[in-house]
Amino acid sequence: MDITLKFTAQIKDVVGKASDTVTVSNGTNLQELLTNLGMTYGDRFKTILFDEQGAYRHSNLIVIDQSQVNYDDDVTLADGMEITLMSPISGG
Amino acid sequence: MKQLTAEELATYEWQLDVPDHGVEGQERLKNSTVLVSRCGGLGSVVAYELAAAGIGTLILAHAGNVKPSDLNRQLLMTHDWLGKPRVESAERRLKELNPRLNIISVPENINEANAEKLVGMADVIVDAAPLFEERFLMNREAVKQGKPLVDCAMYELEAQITTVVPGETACLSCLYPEQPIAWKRRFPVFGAVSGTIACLGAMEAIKLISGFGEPLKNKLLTMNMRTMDIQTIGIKQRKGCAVCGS
Repeated sequence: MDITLKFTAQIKDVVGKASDTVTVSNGTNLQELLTNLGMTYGDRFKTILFDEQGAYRHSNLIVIDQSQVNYDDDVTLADGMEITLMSPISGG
Repeated sequence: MKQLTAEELATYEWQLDVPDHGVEGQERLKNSTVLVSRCGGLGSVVAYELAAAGIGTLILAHAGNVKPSDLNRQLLMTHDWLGKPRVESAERRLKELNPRLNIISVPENINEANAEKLVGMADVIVDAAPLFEERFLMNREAVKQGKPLVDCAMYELEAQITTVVPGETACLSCLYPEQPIAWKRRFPVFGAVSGTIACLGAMEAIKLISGFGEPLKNKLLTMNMRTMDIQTIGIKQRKGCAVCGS
């Protein structure tokens, strides 16, 4: 099934594009997706999302269909889901 | 509460017609104080719009002198004030627009030593600082003192805004429980982007003070001005938040 990804700010910068589509297998959950994306988009992406111990950096917002979800939430992905990863911004 | 003078009634005539605002709302603006920190690309425009709208008192916190690189976005800074204190330039420009405005200029950025006092002097805080350390201090004090805080921010052609109402909404630390690691002090910016989100920030402050409309409570409005994609995202309080304890 296909998942649409959107990226903002520094996450967009390290991915090199504002959106992407990935194909995942049935039953994949949010944590598995984000871990796998670290392999797809490389170390800089992984460093923004996860600390040295592999723990998720919760200041990166996860938005699914216009609502914030937490990394620890039990979210099973569904075909056509749109997930936005938002890097925190502070420009003034 | 101080009432509007004949001059003020004439000045604000057109906005007095806004439904649910009127003379009473305008008097609330006149009798209110807003802290704006800093007065850069965002804060300059927030302060200017609030001055135009007839806010009674602005507290402006911003350290340093005007630099050439300020002038693409910091609309209260002027070329003839290069090398001189930013808050003086801001005060001068705001007084040109609204000589009735009371301004408390603080030539410092928000820090551990001044945050409690400056937030305590304000009715509403508009957070327009370029560093998360300053934003987190304002958020902490706003939550502790029960003051609403409008948090607006931008990066490149992206911008976002939310309004924190202590006891009712997620606070900034619910949103960002840890120090963001990827943020850098220098960020790509057009003044038109910071100015756009700043106008929304000023409007949030006006709504909170006057008491009409629906502030962005538990909502994060995001804008991508590259694609003109605008969304309102539902955000939530974080269990065990270190600041608001929600």
